[in-house]
Amino acid sequence: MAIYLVCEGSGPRLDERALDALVIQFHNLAVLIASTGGKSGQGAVCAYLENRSPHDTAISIEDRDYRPLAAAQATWANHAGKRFTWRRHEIENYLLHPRVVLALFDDLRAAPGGAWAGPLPVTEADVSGLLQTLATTRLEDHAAEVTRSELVQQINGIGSLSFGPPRPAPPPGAHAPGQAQWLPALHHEATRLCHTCNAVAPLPALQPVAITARYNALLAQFQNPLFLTSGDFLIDMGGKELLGALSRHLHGLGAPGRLDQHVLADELLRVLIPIYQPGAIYQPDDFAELAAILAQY
Amino acid sequence: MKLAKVKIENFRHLGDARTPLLLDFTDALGRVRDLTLLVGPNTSGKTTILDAIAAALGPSLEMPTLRPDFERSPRTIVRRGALHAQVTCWLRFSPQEIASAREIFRLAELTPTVPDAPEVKLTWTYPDPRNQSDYGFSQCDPPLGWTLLKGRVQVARLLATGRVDWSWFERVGGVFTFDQERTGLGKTISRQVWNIIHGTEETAGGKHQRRTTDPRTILIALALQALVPSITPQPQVRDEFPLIQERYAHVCAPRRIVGAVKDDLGEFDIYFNDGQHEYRYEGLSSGEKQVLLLLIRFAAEHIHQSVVLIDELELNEHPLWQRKLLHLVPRMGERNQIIATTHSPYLRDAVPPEAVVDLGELGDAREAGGE
Repeated sequence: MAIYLVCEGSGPRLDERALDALVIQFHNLAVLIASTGGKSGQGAVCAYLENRSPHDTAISIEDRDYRPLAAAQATWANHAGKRFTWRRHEIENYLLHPRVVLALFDDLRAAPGGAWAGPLPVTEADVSGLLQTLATTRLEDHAAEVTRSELVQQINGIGSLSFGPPRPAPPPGAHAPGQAQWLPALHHEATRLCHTCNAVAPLPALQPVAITARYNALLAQFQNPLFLTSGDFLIDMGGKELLGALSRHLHGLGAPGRLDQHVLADELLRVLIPIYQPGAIYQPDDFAELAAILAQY
Repeated sequence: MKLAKVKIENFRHLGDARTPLLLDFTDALGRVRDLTLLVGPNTSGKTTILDAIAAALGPSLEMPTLRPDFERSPRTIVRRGALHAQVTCWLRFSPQEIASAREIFRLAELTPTVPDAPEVKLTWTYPDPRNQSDYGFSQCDPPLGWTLLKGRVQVARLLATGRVDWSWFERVGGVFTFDQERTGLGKTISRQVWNIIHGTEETAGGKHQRRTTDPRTILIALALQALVPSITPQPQVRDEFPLIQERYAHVCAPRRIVGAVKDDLGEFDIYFNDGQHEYRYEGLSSGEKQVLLLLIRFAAEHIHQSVVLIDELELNEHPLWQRKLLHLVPRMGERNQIIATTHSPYLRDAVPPEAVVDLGELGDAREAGGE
């Protein structure tokens, strides 16, 4: 029996390497990682792995993105489940914990030619302050993304806006559905889509005034100093965007050109691995919880 | 000792004078990476790169760095049509290594002054244009930089005098090659342990007679040594056998090494357990043997501060064990630099893209690695 941990992760596969180091290797689990190579397709990969061998189990972990924290929390309520969502926005958010960033700053200062890193903060509180400053410029963008996510959720709650009639069954004795089967299916799907559109159109939340009001309310919520000082911004905001802002800040100080956003993420993971202890940095600790779930199998 | 960069010209099919093969082992901050994977298909030159590094550094280190079936001759080393092969290595030494090398030279009463050189450029040309050495001609910049490469061999020589102990191997490094058969293992069994293994009636022979390459015998010897540590006191050196046991159990779980056991015939053997049954060395799978050979050699040869060249790290291993090995190997010694080749995409995906040298079809990848 093989156990697979299915994760997102395109290009540099940061998710896969973080999970490998902090979950599988840390707890010495006999678990293989399967990366979907992008944001979609986790369900399909899990289904493929479990169908390929009935003895195999596939557990997936996906990004929360701009969805509410409660939606992610719900997936962790049942440890017998197989589909989990990071409590933080995405994997980069875990790497941007001020303690991890401070460990990297210490490393940068100690590296040969690291004089440029001299002005970087030397305490966890000051690192947190720097990250808050970097996040401040992205609050309008964050409010818009959350608004968009809420609207999509409301629309999807009514029905799918995609035109995708299920393939009808062929008539007895035939190998493929014919006109008699297809036309009713197409008519039915068209009717369904029209009904969905009609139901979506008058949605109060989709009216410009409501969108503006909701956006402004969210922006006010995020511009409240508490959002930044509580550290919630590091949990909710886009980790890639924050990492990009940090990367630009470092380059502004004179960081080497090769220290781009991807390498910066790798460096953060590199310094996190030796200091990571379950429950010590993250509370709740998704890595430790995931390890406990995988260890059940 | 760390290898920051290597330039290869006319070494077999790798590089030529106009377009040498350049490999950079430094990270974005200019530090030498702990682990670099050379990834490419068969015949892409992965093993040849390891050979080039080993051939270039071996003569200066006075260590057997080459794999046993490597044939050293102009015909097998120099690209057809070229006169010489040349490999240039940029080696880095920490202040502690420099201080240790200086101290070793003082203890050995050798006169050359070890330079305060954090980086040494070593150029090896083969065959020797001066026709003086069968091993090629090595030049260092700074000229006395070669002294920094002699620390380990001097420690080996000084051990017999008692002026240094085994812990000195943690201060000065060398180059170690693990070929696909993981050959190169060898250990001289102490006289006392040799007598225990072979019975008190037999008299232990000289050092050469007590040297063995048999992993089973070495494991038994290490296990016995751990049981009676007082017979071979080696201050400041960690017990090798428990270290091998711990690492083996980590990679091969639930399998573990039980230890040396005297069988019904009164002979010592080494026993393993798979969680349910005990079995002997002969019952090991090829994957287990590969892991063991790696673990034994790392511990027995006190590999620290060294450049470790491993050909096909994943050999014979299940993907789960491949990754465990990948994570374990850089932690098996102090400050080693691992350069490993692999065909395994599962290994490649476990390291940052920057730590992967993708050789593709080497013809279209003349320059690889970092900037």
